[in-house]
Amino acid sequence: MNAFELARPKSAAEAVQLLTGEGRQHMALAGGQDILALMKDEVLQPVRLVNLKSLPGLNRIEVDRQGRLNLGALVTLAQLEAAEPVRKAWSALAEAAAEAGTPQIRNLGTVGGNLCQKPRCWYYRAAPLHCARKGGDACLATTGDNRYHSIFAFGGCVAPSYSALATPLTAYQAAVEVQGPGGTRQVKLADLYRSLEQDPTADTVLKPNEIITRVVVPPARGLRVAHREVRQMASHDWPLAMATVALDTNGGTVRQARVVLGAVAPIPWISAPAAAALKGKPVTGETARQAAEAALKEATPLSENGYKVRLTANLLRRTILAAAGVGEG
Amino acid sequence: MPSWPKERRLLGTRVTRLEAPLKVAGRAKYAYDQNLPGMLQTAVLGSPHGRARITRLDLEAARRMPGVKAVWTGGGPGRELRHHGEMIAAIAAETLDQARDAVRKIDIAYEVLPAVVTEEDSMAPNAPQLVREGNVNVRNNEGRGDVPQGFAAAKAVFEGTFRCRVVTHCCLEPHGAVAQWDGDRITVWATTQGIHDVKDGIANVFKVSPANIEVICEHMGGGFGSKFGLEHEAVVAASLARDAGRPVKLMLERENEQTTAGCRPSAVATIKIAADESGRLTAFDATTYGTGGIGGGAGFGLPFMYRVPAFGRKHSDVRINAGSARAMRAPGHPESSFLMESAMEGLAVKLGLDPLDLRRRNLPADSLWQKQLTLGAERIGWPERLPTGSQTGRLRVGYGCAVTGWWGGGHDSNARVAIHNDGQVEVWCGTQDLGTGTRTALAVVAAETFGLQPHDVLIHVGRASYPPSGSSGGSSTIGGVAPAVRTVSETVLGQLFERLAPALDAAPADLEVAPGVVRVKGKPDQSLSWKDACARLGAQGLSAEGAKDKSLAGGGCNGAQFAKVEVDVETGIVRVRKMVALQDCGLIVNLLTAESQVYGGVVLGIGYALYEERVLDRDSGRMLNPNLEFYKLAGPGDMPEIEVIMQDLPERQVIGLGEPPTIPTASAIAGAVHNALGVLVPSLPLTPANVLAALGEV
Repeated sequence: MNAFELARPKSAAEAVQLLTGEGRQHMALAGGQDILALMKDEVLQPVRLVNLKSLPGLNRIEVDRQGRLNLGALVTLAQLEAAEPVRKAWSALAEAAAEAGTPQIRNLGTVGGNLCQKPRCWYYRAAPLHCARKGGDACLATTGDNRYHSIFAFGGCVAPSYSALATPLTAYQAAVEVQGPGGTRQVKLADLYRSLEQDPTADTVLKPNEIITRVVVPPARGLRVAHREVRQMASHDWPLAMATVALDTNGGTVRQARVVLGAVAPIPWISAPAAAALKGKPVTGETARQAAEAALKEATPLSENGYKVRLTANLLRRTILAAAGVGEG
Repeated sequence: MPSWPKERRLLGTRVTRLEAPLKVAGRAKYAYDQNLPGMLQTAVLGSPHGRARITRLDLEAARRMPGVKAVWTGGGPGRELRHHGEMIAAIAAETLDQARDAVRKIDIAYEVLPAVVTEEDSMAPNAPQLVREGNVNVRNNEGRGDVPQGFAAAKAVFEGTFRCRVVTHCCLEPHGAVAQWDGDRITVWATTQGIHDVKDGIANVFKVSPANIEVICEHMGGGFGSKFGLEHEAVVAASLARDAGRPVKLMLERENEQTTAGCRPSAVATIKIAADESGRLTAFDATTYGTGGIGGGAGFGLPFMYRVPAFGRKHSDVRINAGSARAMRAPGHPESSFLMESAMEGLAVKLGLDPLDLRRRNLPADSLWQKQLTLGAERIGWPERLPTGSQTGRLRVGYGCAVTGWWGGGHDSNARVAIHNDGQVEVWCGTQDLGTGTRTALAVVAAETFGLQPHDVLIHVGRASYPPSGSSGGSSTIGGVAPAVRTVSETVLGQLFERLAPALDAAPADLEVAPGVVRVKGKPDQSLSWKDACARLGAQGLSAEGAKDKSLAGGGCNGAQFAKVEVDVETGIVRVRKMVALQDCGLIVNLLTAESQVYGGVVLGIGYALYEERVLDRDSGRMLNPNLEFYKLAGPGDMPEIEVIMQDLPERQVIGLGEPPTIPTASAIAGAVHNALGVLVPSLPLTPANVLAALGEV
């Protein structure tokens, strides 16, 4: 690991100032569950870490007067999985948090860090390899061993999005509040990772001197939401696929559906075809299957991960049924 | 003539480990924990390429880095590096951070050469040849009997191709050593399965008299066969220590541990197997290959376990650009078992026989296996097993079984036993406790002999200056050290009886020990407490040193395992719900740690069955998962209920059992998956990819 400077800002504005690197690599540190390992493995070599843990007030979970859930960026996954209001009104988010990592990781890992984690691709994480995600010419996984990689194409890197929170937060239509040099702005979860389509090195649309300070989740009253994941090991393991399904139903008929898949695309994968397939229909084993098939019709699996197509279709069918509360087939 | 006691007070009972308090409190000192005054730390530069030639190597800038005291290199320009992680240089510095910083200053350039990564690529006619002898070593055809006749006479023939992938040992304490020179004397703290072999190796490499070498291994964090003899890491540590004039620690970091410190070879077999009307095997033929990386062979036995009157076999060891294989818990056997048992599964379907029945018909009728299969079938619930392929739901339950055997005869061993005049018994044995409970086993044997409790006995192991004992491999330790301690303890006890006979007014041969007392046989009132008896020994106490009496050790053990699994056919995920492991190891010394060995073997086998695989990049030859993140080691949540049933057979003497309980685990699980699905999954590990492919879902 390179020697680096550790900065401890007292305010978000100061953090932004300290992150402004003018070409030098300055990076934010929250729970440290990802970045420290990347530094030790010499994948990332920032010259300055800006420790956000010293910022006041960012570790709170609050429901505001409009009934929105406000999550400070430093809220830990352990806090999230245990928080009563979240378990009650945004249960899929609490469930997703509970499935992430290990108890040790959840005790330190933060909401902001989970959303901004780097890809878990074994080419990206090998320091000597210069893949597209690190600014190299080619995505090495595309031609290499891609058994755990994306089955939906988005941009020039096939590392899957593993953020346990991004999938449900996208389904809940959450937004992140971002502090930058020009003040604050909001970015919808659905837009947060869009930059990857043009630039495989741009993990999020955030600039290097912008930080997430809060996540705002709209009220989910009336929505039926379920989150499920498939991972090979019951112990700590990265999921092969995740799915969050949010249904707005009216007397047994789906008025509106949002279907988001994780670990199968470089970004949380919003499936418009699945949502369209459900719209206006009752959720039954058959309509759930059709929606899942519609979602996976867009899949373009790589050389080694064809198995993820069927697996994801089955997961999605079950998640739709779970959201509707009609059993998991 | 030494013998095991007819009536056992401690032997075969459950005795907690002597070192447990140390381990629980974190005070047990592993080689990794040795921190000596003035000790330097070492960082290693390993090859980043699967295959490359060094074109430039300049160590000057690294040498000038702060804290650097010594630099080792295995060769500069022109040297061909033949696998990821191969050690290029090592730097010893005041701190590990300084050593790592210095490694990054090594000025090195490579000519990257095309790596040969798969067995099939290596066997291709135009493959680059990696060593002068060539990539492929075809062994002589083996066989016996009239194979064509055996197939012709068969009622059913099954053919299939099965594959086991390379797995690594994943020792939690990586390979390495601490070395300290004092003039021409050297002390090495090694994490090793053979302290005497390390001593011998150091003597040869550094031209030091064995009299001037001490090797210490108090505790170790896993070897599984990968830590025999003098390891390269210990040689480098000792070289650096000599050059620096300071003690040096070199422990591999995880990436180098996973890429360079050994693996179990792959095994691929195309098998044809046949049986007659009665289900008796008539013929077997196999064409097989496997890779042990750049240096190791990939041998395994076939046919395995079951008697076949006629068989043929052709095998090739194939080299690739990957770290070399080393012995791994039951070398060759888990592979043999999976390949053979998979073929048996296929054959059972062809014959329309219950697979358990097919196994029974091909094992000796009077063997322990038959009893174990009966008992195991009962414990797993075999009668609830549905016919193979008859289930249609999403979650399918399957049952499988497999058998195991191993020699486990003890190695040579000496021991020294002393009785002090305060009653303290002390035992010295130059063996090493791999974490299997060797210390405690020695205490059980000595305590049994002297009428004491295990925790009353002071046990010394893990030093090469103690009475010599063999390396711990092939499940040979317990059959070496337990007989040695029993033999010598009986000698010392004889001496004690000689001394006490006059005081007890009896002949020495008429004396015996009972818990806490020495007494005259048949006259319990003519006795001395242990303390009073020993108080008569004077300043010198009593002691003896000697070799084991070989009649106290046996060989050849039997086992069987049963698995109950649940397979989700929509995701391809296999969960093991229950394992039943039946095992004999002759006379059981400590039931608690014997059961632990079986639990450990099953746990390892579950990982082999479902999760573990060394993944190499086809292009660069780099290991893609040299970590414990994408190299998947089963965790607690993946463990089923494991029922261990030990058969205590004292008449068979002491037999080792480290290896046999990991041999059949993956096979039993694969058989259960076959039963659940109705198709054989031909490749380990049984991942969702492999399961869904076998179901035709990919």
